[in-house]
Parts: sequence; C-alpha cells; structure tokens
Amino acid sequence: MRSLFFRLFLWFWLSLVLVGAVFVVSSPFLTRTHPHLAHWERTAGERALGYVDKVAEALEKQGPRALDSLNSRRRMGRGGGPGPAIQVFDDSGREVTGLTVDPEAQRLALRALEQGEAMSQRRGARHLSAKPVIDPTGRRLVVVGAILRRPNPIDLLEPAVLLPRLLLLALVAAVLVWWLARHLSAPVDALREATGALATGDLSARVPGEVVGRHDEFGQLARDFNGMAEHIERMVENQRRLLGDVSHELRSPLARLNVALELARQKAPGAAEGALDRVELESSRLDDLISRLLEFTRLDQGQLERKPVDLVGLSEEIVADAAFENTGAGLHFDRPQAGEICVLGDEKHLRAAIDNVIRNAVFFSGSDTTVEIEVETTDALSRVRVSDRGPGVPEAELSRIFEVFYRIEDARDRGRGGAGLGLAIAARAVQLHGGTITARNRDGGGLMIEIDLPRA
Amino acid sequence: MAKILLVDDDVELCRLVSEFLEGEGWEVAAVHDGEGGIERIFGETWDLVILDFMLPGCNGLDVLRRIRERTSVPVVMLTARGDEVDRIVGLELGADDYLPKPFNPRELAARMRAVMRRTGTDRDSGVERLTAGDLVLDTGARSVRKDGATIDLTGAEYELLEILLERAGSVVSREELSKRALGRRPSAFDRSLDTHLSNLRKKLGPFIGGRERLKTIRGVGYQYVKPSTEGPGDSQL
Repeated sequence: MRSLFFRLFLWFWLSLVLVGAVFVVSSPFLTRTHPHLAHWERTAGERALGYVDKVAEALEKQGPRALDSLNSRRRMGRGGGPGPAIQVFDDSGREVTGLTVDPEAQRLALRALEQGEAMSQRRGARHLSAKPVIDPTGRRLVVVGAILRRPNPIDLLEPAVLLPRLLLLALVAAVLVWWLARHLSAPVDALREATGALATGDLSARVPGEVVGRHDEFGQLARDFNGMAEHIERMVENQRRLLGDVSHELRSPLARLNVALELARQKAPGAAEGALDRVELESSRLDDLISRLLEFTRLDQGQLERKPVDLVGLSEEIVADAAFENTGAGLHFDRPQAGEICVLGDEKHLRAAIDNVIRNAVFFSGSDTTVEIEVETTDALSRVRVSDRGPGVPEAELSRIFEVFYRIEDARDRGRGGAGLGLAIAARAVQLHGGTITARNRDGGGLMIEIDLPRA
Repeated sequence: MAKILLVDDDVELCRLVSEFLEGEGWEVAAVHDGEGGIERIFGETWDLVILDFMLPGCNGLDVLRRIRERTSVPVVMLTARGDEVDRIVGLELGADDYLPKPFNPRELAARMRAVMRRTGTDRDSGVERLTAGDLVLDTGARSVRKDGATIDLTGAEYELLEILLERAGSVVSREELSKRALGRRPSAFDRSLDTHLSNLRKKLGPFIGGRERLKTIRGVGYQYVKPSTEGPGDSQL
C-alpha cells in the first residue's frame, strides 16, 4: 500500500460501496414484505381484472364505440417500459385500439380466441388475462389486460437496473471519500514531513500553518510539534553559542600563556628546556582544539555559498594534501570514469567534510595499510567513500562517532591527540548540504564512511 | 632603540608582550582602547604599531583606516584566527603584516623586524637573496617571491622553506626541521610540523608541469626537490 491517503480512500470507499450495494440489492426483498404493499397489490390486481371485465361487457353491449371511451393512456408495463393496460384484438390478431402491439398479449389473445374462453397467463412479474367477447356487430374480439403482479425479487436484480445505481453510488462515494481521506491524511503528511526534516537535522523544520490552524487533534499535535521543535532548536543553538563563546574566551588566556612561555625562555635560556617544550606542545594542542571547536560552531553561522563543486577534483586535492603529511597509512584514490562529479554546495564546507573523514581514516590506520577513497554517482546522489583498515568501531557505537567529543572507550589513545571533533564537523557540514553521512565496519576489519550528497 | 606602540584591550597580555619585546631590545608602550590608541599614535613618532582588531568601542579596522589617513607608520595587526575577512580587509587598508591570535611572541618579534626592515630606513642592511629556480627568498625582509609575485608566508613557514632551500635536493629530517624552525624537538604525536609544511606546500604550489616541490620521505623527513627539469627520474618515491 502506497500511502495513508490511498489506504483511507480505498477502505472508506470500499465499505461505502459495499454498504450501498447491499442496500440496493436487498431493498426489493425488504420492501416487498411490507403489508401495505401486499394489500395494494391485491386490490390493484382485482381492480385491473375487474376493468377487463368492464371493458368486455361494454364491448358486448355497445360495440366499437366503447373503445373510444377506453382510456388508452393508462398503461401498465414491464419495468417501467411501455405496455398497454388494455389492448383489444380482433380474430386476425390485429390490435383495434391503435396501440402498439404487445406480442405477449397478442399471443394470449389468439389462444383465447382459439379456445373460446377466458385465459390468464403469468410470466415473471407480469400477469395477463384475456377475455373473448362478441360485439353487437358480431365481430369476435379479445380484451387483454396486463397487470403487474408483485414481482419476484430476483427479477428486480436486473443488471440494467442495478448497474447505473451502483455506478452512481460508487461515484458519489468516491468524491466524498476522496475529500475525507485528503482531509485526514494531509495533516499527517505535513507532520511526517516536518518530523522527518527535524530528524535529519533541520532544526528549523515546522509544520505549516494550514495544519496548525486546524481545530482538531491534528492541529493540536502540529502546535505541540512546533513548540517542541522550537524548544530543541533554541536549546541546540544555545549550546552551540556557548561552545563558541567558551572557545573564544579560552583564546585570551592561551595567548597570554604563549607569551609567558617565551618570556620564561627569554629570561632563562636553556633552563627547563624539556618542560617548556612540553608546555608549548600542550598549548599548541589547546589552540588546535579551540580552532576546531570554533570551526564547528562557525558551520552554522552565515549562509552556505552554493556553487557547483567537483567532488573528484576536490577529493584528489585533499588526498594529495593528506598524503604529503607523512604519518599513518598510505592513500589510494580511485579516479572514477566520469571525470567530474559535481554537486551544488559550499566548497569550504565540503572540503572540511571530506578532509576530516580522510584524516580520521589515516589517523587510525597502521602505516602498513592503505586508505581507499572513491567517488561515485547515481541518479539521485553523489557519494564519497573512505575505507580504512584501522581498528574499526564497535557496532553499537557506529552512529555516535559523529557526535561532538565522542570517543570510543580504550580504543583511542588520547595521547595521540585528536579531539573527537573531525567527524562531528564532517557530519554537520554534510547535514547542512542536505546529505547524509554513515559509517559501517568492513568485512575483514576497518571502517567505511560514506558521504552522500544530493546531485546537482 | 625602536619605539613600539601596542594597542590591545587585554591589559595582562599587553604587560607580558611588553616585557617580552623589551627583552628583545625594544621600547614598548601600551594603550588599551581604540580612541586612546589613535591619540598616542598621532601624538608621538613610532617605529611600529601592533594593533588588535577586537577593540572595545572602536573597531580595529576603523583605527587602521584613521591611522592610514595621516601616517604610514608600519602596522602589524593581530586577528582572531579564522577571520579571513578581517585579515584581507586589514591588508587592503594598509596593514603591513598580520598575525592570528594566539600567537607565538618569537614569531611576532620576527615579523616586526621584517616589517621594520622592509619599511624602515635601514633598507640596505642585511639584504641577502637566496634563489632556487622560480623562488627568490629575501632573507632580510623574510619575504618570498615566486615569479615576481610575493607569497604570503607565516614565520614558521618561512623558516622551514629557508632550511629546505638551503639544502635543496637532499632530505632534511623532521627533528632538524622542528628544532631549527619551531625551536623544539618533535614529540611522537606532534602534528604541527606537518601542518606547517602542508600549508607551505599549498602556498608554493607545484613546479610548472605539475611536479611536486616538496616531498615526503616517509619516516625520515622532507625534501625540497631540485628545480632542475632533467626528466622524470626522481619523481616517484
């Protein structure tokens, strides 16, 4: 089943049509048993037969003149179709009142003439009775009256009768149900879209006004959702701002520390060399950490400058840079057939994303292994894949490696540096481009990270 | 003795920097706000001004603009790291050099000397040139030109390039580079040497024809490739 709308529509529509059909089909059976109907039918039948007798009597007495007074407009027919209430035939089977010949009536009339006695016949719901008379001129005539008996319900279930009704029913039901299903599923769609956007990191996602303005539970839900999204957005924003502010404030003492350090070297050259080197190293690490924190918080400031960016060229450049710095694993870049694979994005952010993922892979790989970088494209997205043969990540923690300051227990040695910010920066940058970043362990050991970006 | 004016709102930092620069043999005065800074700059003659960009009340860029309306005193500006825009606008407005905060005071001193040498009266003293193919190093002004165009290097990058160029064609060990350029022995996981070299490589770009200028010799050190173009013999590790 495709969607809620489709399901709602189908179920409501099917049940409406079903109920309608049951009603249409069963109504003859039900109405037929009504006592008034039975009474009306009996008396109407008697009156009609009495009328045949009356006409016959008049013909016998007055001859053809009686025919003039015969109200030929009174008709009784089959299923609403035309049919004379009273027809009069002569011995050659000709209808003498000038009405269209009812062949059934004609056949019965000829039989009654042959037999010379009154006859009646019942076929389906139709009851015919024929009475032969001789008018004053000696002409032999037969008066045939047709009445509709209480019809057999089965006869009422003719397709020609039922089909148009059922079609009309289905049509009216479809229109109503379409509207109903739309009414019920549209707000759910809007809510789903907003929650989906929020879940993938677009904290500014809100349910649109037409749903929020509804006076039902959907409207309430939408308002609650928007309130929640607002709250989360503000909280995350505050957290980021705090992170940025703290980092910024840390810079001043760090700047002073650096100067004091050099001052110490200047005042006492050669003394405590090792310890001062250590202070300088730690201070530069602190500086590096602060820079990356600021880089992370800056991702959310300012607009993305979206331009076509060639992922192949960009990756190649980053690989060349990373290969130059002589640590860790070797790098292998698979140049794709396509030559260029472009996405629309901010080159600075995309560079940061790919760079951080590659450096992370190099960092955690042994120097005797190779990190592989591939760029590929499908109809919907462009992908950069970075695979290493490092220690990998425990399965349960795979999704958490993109969190700020996240580190795997034991596995990673803090002494080696690395603040746990690289992948967070990468993830945020990819997210801002409407892309996704995923990590999984490779068969045979190692980690594979894929950056998926929407195609340009 | 050169007279230096330091304009920075961080009082404690000013005290430390003043002490350090005095130790380097300069006379240093400090002001902690933009307006006061402008007054002092116009009130006396200075050999160099160090100007912080994040000043309370009056933006460092405005101060720089107003200084440049009346005097061509050399200015080294201090910027927050990553504020590219500040740096570019600052250089356009006529700052002579810039240094991101937090900075290494030795680098600050080196830059100040270079700026003063470049702009000062003793232009002819100590000018030495080191040429390697399309690169020309002016060891006096500590500036680098590639095909005539100046390349903007940090102090550490300049030091590294000078060491590598002196021994172009042979491998220089990480230890030596770290000791001579950064003034310390490299520890096991110190990444800063590699970062500086990586930036240097990016700024210099490859030789014409795409051959890399700087090469990594894994586990040993780095090499500035001899700019001779005698075939592809040594292009592969």
